[in-house]
Amino acid sequence: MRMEWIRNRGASREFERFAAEVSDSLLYTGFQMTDNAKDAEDLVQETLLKVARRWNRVRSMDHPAAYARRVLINLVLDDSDRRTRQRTELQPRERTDEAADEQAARALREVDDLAEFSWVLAQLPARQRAVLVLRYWSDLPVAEVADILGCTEGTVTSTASRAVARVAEILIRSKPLAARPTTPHA
Amino acid sequence: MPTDELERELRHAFGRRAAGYQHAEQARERLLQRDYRPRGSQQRLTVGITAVTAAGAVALSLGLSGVFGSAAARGTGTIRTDAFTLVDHANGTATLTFNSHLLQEPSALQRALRHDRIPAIVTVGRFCYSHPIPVGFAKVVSGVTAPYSKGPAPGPGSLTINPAAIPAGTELSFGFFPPQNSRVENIIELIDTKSYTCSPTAPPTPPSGDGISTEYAQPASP
Repeated sequence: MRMEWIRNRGASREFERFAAEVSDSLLYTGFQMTDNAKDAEDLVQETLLKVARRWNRVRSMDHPAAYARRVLINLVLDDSDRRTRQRTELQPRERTDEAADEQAARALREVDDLAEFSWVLAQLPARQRAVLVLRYWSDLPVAEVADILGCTEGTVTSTASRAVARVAEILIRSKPLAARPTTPHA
Repeated sequence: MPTDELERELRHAFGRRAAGYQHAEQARERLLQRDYRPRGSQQRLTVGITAVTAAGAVALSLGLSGVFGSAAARGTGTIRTDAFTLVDHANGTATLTFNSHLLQEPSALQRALRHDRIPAIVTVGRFCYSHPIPVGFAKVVSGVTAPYSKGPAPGPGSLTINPAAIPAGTELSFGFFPPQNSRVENIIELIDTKSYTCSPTAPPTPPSGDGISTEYAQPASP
């Protein structure tokens, strides 16, 4: 069966323009998710292939770029699921308190070597990493992140809280004892 | 949700990390050279770089030389997408022209601005602002043209940015609000990088000289 859009030069050109327009954003999102330039490129290639196959439907969407981003994120998550078969990180948990957030912010400010931040991100489950990348790199609202990940907004919020708490925990643990913040006495 | 301070630190950390992403332009070039079309009677998708034949190269060569962050575009100091064009001038300023109703990927504009040494936060559907608004906007942004007026948009908006005039500890905040009732709103102000708030509702019009707030009719689809 021949794909209809191939016969349609206009649609084909549309896809080409679309690919040019979104590839930059997809590459950076892929890089933030994998910390590997080659993996990011492979991810974008696979994403564009999937979008190309469905271009007839995708081109009529309000936000084809958002669809492509969802495909890319799901490729990462599917790969992660295949490896771990664990989805426990999406289960809601109580939010972190402000003290923990302050500690996390301080720890992040003190990160001199970006390799350390990359290493910390690599310690997170893929879904937690996806939430952080989509919220704080792609700058998407919670509702859109929930849509991409196929979960509720509450789950996104709790996952983000848990992810930043974990980031803080890893950063603080990785520092020498003398550099760790002291706990104020009651 | 994490506190505002923590969210800021996370954004900065991701931004710094992205700055370390080497060879993104070459990766993009390679991707756009590939043939994502089904080929031949087997409907096989050819994806490898080695599969780029003369015909294949045409498939996604796109006729976009000098467009959207290609090496040529960066070399000439121009980054162009459907939503915006950013031209880097020899005197260090940059001219930004944009069709805000087409802007779906704020991070693309944000990265382009940062590539031109213009620290900025670009948001769609919300706006980040400081109180009080840092002074100096009028020295940073000049040459503002349509559609910065009420009424139908006669064309893309345009403005010139002088990154050297951006006060230390501040950055530009661009807020683009999706069309509501066929009207589009843009807001641009300076913000304090260490103290700002982001809101899904547009703040009041900034005092003259402290920022730009515009509302105009969404252009009709062709």
